[in-house]
Amino acid sequence: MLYVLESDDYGEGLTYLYKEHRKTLFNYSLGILGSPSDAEDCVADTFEAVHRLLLKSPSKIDSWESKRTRNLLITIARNRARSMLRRKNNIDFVALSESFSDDYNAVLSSLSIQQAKGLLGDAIQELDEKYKTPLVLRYYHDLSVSEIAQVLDISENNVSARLHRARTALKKGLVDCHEE
Amino acid sequence: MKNKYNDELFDVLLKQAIEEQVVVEDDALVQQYSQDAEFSSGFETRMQKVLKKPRKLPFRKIIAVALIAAVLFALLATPVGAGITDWVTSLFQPRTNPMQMDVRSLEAYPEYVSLYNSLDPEWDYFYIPNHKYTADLTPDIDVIQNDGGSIIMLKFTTVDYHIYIDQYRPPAGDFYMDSEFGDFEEVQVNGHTAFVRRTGGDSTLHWEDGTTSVWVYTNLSLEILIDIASTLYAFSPNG
Repeated sequence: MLYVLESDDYGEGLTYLYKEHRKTLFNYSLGILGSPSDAEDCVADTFEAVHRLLLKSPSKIDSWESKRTRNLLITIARNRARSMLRRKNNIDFVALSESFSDDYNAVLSSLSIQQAKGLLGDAIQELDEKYKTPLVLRYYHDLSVSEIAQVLDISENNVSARLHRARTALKKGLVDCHEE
Repeated sequence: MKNKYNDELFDVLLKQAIEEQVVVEDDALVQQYSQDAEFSSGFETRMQKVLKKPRKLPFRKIIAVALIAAVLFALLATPVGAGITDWVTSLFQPRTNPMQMDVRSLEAYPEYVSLYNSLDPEWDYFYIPNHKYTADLTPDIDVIQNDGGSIIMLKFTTVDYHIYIDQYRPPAGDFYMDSEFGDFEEVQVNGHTAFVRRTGGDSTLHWEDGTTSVWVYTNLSLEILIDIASTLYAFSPNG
């Protein structure tokens, strides 16, 4: 770990990420939060989270210039901005219902791969960010539960619960979209 | 109603759907938000610190760990630390320790003083109880001689209950417990390991201090027996 910390690549890579994406991250956060100072906090928090991830798992960023790395920054910034907004406005998100009939098995079996993927894409779009973010970190960035907890600054139990609820909601969404 | 095949298929589809969606969304997002931005004057300085933070964070951690290690070393390995450790340990010692001598007014215990005077010189102390079930009773005291030496028997008896306390000093290394009438259960009495068992109407408790072997019998409950045993203390008129 000390080698990575002392590595010039590491510092240069972070500086590159910052210079390349700071405007996008700031403007995007500003669009959500509506306050320039909050948006700056959000950008700073985003890079702090990337630090935490790199300290824990340096290999998780394979290339500083890839779209995957860009998405990691956007995902973290989105999550951070929304949680700041939630705290600011004291918004309570309604918990997803975990109980639904398990007949998605039948639906999944009756669809073609393309149809199922399309319906799943629609269901993902409907998903609350609170659940979508861990899903993207898990399935797109291949982060473990503990790494997601590190990045989002929440407990591992919380991450597991959100992933479980997200999958449950998507299965339900798949059935609902199919029925429509 | 789990379907393993469908769960695996679901994961594959989910991964593909997310990958396709995030790339499209991110491209659109970058296009929408890539315009110039005005940062506050102190923001760049703040970000310089954030970007350098990994170099500082482990150093702080190393300092913190070194400080904790130094404090632990001082507490455990130095004479001052040993004194502190002893003091802290003493706070958790039981208030009544049957291993400790407890010299009280001799007038209060004439029967024990005369017992003490009648014993062989090897008996520099013996155990007596200090419990509400024995407080108002004068014990019958028997001293039996056998091959191994004297056995002291204190008997507290009422119409409702009896409490017998036997103690003797077997030759070194000759402590034993007879398990013929049932197995003993290990219990803690004032921080000392003792053994109890119930046979018929009586409960029995046994413990040793390395010199004296003590047996307590009673027809009272096991809880009261352990409570009585916890009040035993070494009596010695000579202090």
